[in-house]
Amino acid sequence: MNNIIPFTKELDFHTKVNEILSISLEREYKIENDSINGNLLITGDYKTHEVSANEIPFSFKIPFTIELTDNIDKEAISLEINDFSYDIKDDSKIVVHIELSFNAPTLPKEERIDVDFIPVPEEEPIEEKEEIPHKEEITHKEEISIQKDEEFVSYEVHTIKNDETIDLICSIYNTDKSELAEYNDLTNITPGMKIIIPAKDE
Amino acid sequence: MNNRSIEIIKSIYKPYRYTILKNAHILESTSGNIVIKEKKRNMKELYNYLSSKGITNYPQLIDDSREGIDLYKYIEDIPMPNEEKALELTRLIASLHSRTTYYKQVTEDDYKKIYEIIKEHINYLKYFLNYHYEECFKEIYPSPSSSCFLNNFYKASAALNFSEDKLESWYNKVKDKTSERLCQIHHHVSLEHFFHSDKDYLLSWEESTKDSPVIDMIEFYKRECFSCDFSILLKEYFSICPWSPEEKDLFFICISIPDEFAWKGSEFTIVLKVEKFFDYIFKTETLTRPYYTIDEKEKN
Repeated sequence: MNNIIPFTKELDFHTKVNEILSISLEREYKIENDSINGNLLITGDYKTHEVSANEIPFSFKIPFTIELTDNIDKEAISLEINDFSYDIKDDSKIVVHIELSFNAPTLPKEERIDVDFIPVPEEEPIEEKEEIPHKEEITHKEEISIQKDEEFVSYEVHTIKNDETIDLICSIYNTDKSELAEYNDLTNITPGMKIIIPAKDE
Repeated sequence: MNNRSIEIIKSIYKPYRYTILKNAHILESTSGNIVIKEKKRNMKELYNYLSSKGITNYPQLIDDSREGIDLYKYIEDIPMPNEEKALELTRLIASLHSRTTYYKQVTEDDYKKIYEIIKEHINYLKYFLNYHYEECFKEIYPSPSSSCFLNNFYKASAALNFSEDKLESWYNKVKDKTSERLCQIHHHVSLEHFFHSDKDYLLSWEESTKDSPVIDMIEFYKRECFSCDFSILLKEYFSICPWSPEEKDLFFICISIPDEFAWKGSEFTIVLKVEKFFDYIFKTETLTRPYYTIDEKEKN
C-alpha cells in the first residue's frame, strides 16, 4: 500500500518574520498497535527585518497520528518525507505544507465467510430430481437456478421484532411464505430470531 | 489568549467594564484598572535588563504567574499633539538605543545577507512597477489610477535606482568591517504605543530584541511619516544617539524603497492606494535629499 499523506499547519512566531534564512524538516515516529504516533520537527533561522543583524533560531514540534488498518504488515512500514514547502503569512506566521509518503505491504487476505452471503446450493440434474411435495416451487427454483448460472444470489437477514408476524415480514420484503420457508424454519419463530429473506430480481 | 485564565481574572476583579482593544483586554473595576495581554515571552527578564540600563518607560507588570497571560497596570494617557508625542517618542527611542549599545563581531557574510535581501526586494519592486506600467499603458483611455501611476512612474523608478545605487556603495563600505553596533530595539515603534502619564511610557515590548537601531527608525518612519515632520525628529534622534555614515546610508536606502500595494478593489480604493504610494516617495525624497546633497557638495 502506497499513500501520500498531506499535512498543513500554521506556525505562529510571536515576532515579525521578514525572511526565513534556513528551514529543515525531520520526522520521528513509533509504530504502536493500531496507529503510528510521531512528531514532525521543523527547525531553522529567520530574520525579523531585512536589515536585521541577528539570525534568530526557531523550532517547532508538530505531533501526528496515523490510524492503521488490519491488513498491513506493521513490521515493514516506511514513512518518508515526500514534499515540503512553506509560505510566510501575515508577517508573523508561516504555513507549512508537508507530504508524507507511507509505504507498507498488505497482508494476504484470510479465508472468511461473509454472514450476508450464502451461496446457491448445488443444482441437482433435472433427470435425477427427487420427489418433493411442492412441484410448482421446484420449477420456479429451477428457473432461477438456470438463469443465475454461476451467479451468486444476495440475501437479507431480518431480526424479528416483538409484534412482527410472517405475513407482515412478507409484505415488507415483497416475498411470500413459501419462499421464506425454503430458507427458514417458520414453525417456531420468536422475537430476536434472525431469518433469511432472498432478494427479488427486479 | 488563554480564555480560562481571563475568566479567572474577571471573577477576581469583577470589572464593571471590559474592553478588547486589538491584542489587549482592559478590565475596569472599582479596585483599579488592569490590562491583560497574551504571554509571548519572559517580560520580567526584559524589564530587569531595561531597569539595569536606567530605562523604566514600560508599563508595570502586575502578575506574570498565570498561564498564557500577563497582567499590567493600566496607564491613563494624557492627550498631547501628535508632533509633541512624536518628539518625546524619538527622545525615548534614542535614549534606549544609546544606553543599550554594544558591538558584535561580524563577517562579510553577515553584510552580504543584508545586501542580498534588500537587492531582491528592490528587484521585486522593479518588476511590480514595470508590470503595472505596462498594464496601465495598454488602456486606451486610462482610468484615474492608471493616469496617476503613469504620470508619476518616473519618481518610483528614480527612488528604486537611488536605493540600488546607495546599496552598492553601502556594501562596499561595510564589507571590510569586523564589528557592528547593536542595541535593544523596541521593534514596534509607533505613536499609538506611546503614552504620556506621570512619565513617558512605551507599550508593547513583546517583540523587543537586540538588533540594529536602524530597524526601529525605519519602522517608525514607515508607520508615521504622514503624521510628523521627520526632518526634525531625525535631527533630535542623531543629537542623542549619533549614527555612523553606514547606518545612515542603510536607513535612507530602506526608507526609499516604497511598500508595494495590492492593485485590487474599486477604482476609488486603487486611486487612494496609488496616491499614497507616490506621496510616500515624494515625502521620502524630501527627507533624504539634504543628507546626500551635503555629501555631494563636500565631495566636490
